[in-house]
Amino acid sequence: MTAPLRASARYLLLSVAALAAILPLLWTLSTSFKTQVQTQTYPPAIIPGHPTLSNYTGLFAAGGGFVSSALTSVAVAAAATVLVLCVAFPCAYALVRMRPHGRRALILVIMLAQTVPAIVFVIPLYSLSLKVGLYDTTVLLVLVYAGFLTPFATILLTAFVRRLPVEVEEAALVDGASRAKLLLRVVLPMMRGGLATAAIFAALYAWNEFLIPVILAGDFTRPLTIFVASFVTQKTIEWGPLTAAVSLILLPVVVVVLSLQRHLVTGLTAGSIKG
Amino acid sequence: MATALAKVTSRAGAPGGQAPRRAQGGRAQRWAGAALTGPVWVLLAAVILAPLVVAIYTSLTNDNLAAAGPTQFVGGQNYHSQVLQGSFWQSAGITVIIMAGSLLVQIPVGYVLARALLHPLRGRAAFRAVIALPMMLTPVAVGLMWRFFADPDLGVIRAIAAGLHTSSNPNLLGTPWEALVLIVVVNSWINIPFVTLVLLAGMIGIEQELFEAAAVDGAGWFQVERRITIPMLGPALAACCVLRMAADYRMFDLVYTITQGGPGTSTLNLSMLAYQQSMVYFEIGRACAIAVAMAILALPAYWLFAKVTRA
Repeated sequence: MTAPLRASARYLLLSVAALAAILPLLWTLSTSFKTQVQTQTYPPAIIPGHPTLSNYTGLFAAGGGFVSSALTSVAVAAAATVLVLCVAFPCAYALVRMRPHGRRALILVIMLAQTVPAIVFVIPLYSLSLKVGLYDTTVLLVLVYAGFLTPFATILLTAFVRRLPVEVEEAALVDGASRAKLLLRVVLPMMRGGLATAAIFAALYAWNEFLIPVILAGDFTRPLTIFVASFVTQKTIEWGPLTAAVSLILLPVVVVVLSLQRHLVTGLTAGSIKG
Repeated sequence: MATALAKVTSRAGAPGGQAPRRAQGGRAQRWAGAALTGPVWVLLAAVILAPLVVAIYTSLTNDNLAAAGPTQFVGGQNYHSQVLQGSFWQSAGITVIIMAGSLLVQIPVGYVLARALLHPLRGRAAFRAVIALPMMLTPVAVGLMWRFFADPDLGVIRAIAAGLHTSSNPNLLGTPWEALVLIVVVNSWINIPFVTLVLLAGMIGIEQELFEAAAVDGAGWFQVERRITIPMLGPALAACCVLRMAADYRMFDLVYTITQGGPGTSTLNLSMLAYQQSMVYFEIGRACAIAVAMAILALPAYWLFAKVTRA
């Protein structure tokens, strides 16, 4: 192939791929502005004749459950992300620099958590949580989300700890800094990039999580994923509200993915499997 | 990340090997380190280890949340009835079909896209950003989105098929094979960006001189792919395949939202089967047997996974 031909072939290919990535999202967004009647017409109109916000206002109306689900999603994702960072950061540091007792066993457990399908843990957690009285509580969701995200966050952070210059830490120790001080004042600031990457992935996964809440969340702690999935089990699916809810769930993810791609590529392989 | 874990494990496996870089051997130091790992131990003990033990034990009982009687120990009965005779193997077959189909679509398409993005091109950054968009999108929401497109009465897929003047009125959700194809397509839609970006990162690592030398020697594109790109990309390709297979093996969200396992049981994969037994029929004992068998069936994959993350 000649050079110009090759370039046009690449343009064609990339354009098709870009359209395939974005058209389904635009179609969903467009449908979310259609009225009930318009969503029930066949063939569907590409752009709604008289766009309406009724699907969105309907979602936010009292008693619909959308707002409380959104609050649950935000609260659980935020709390789980903070918890994951708090436990995984010191652990990753210790694993790399301090040869802690029980290291081999811990690595084995982390590998186990990464490779065994999550449903193996979630089904017994259901009966366990019923026994302990934690079923359908925010605390349970935060703990389980955090537990499932900690292995990947720990693995990701060990990679970042390893890249730190050990000389800086040595100098601080010579100057008489304690381990705790070293960790908080010296290592933590140098790890900002790694912690940001881990936080983005943890938050996205927590936001997207479905298997854990579909088994462990009841009526009081339904995150958005459960809220939106409940549409399909009804007799007639109301596509207007459904596409509006789908658009609202995806919006923050799209914003994060577009603005923070640099971070995402770093954590890509570590993040691909999480329980 | 891959190398990170590899180094941690390899050092753990070879204590006599590379000397620790710093005063890591000190007894007090090792206990201090253990204290720092403490919170992770507690969390994983509660969420991973305890449930695993409970799962294995429960799989040997007739635990049923809907039954009034006390739970009894039944030995291997659940494994006999659910795994050896039940629908386990049919679901395993469906799981394998979904995994294989997804791999066959995702790896070649991801490879071609990564190749198209490799060399400088006007607008390359924008293309990459848009193509990567579906990567981290909420699977449940994406599943519902495609469930909507595939709706037999109103869906856009029907409209497109009608526009192409096909005589049939496609009902993807009502026919076994077409439902499977739909799941593979949606799964690929979300995950091709991942494959593309990982392979692209691998390709960027290949030395540019190799391509230039090949161009000077007048190598055709097929030769360049076969002799340079694919061999040099070996580890990245292997990692992609293993990571995608491991993730697709446990696929749940998409099946739940697109087909709910239907029509009939034609898309009921292993995760969905275990879910049904536990949350629809409340047969916790049987569900645990299926889940444990699912974990055991994946044992060869653990070995592969460890190998790939070590590379």
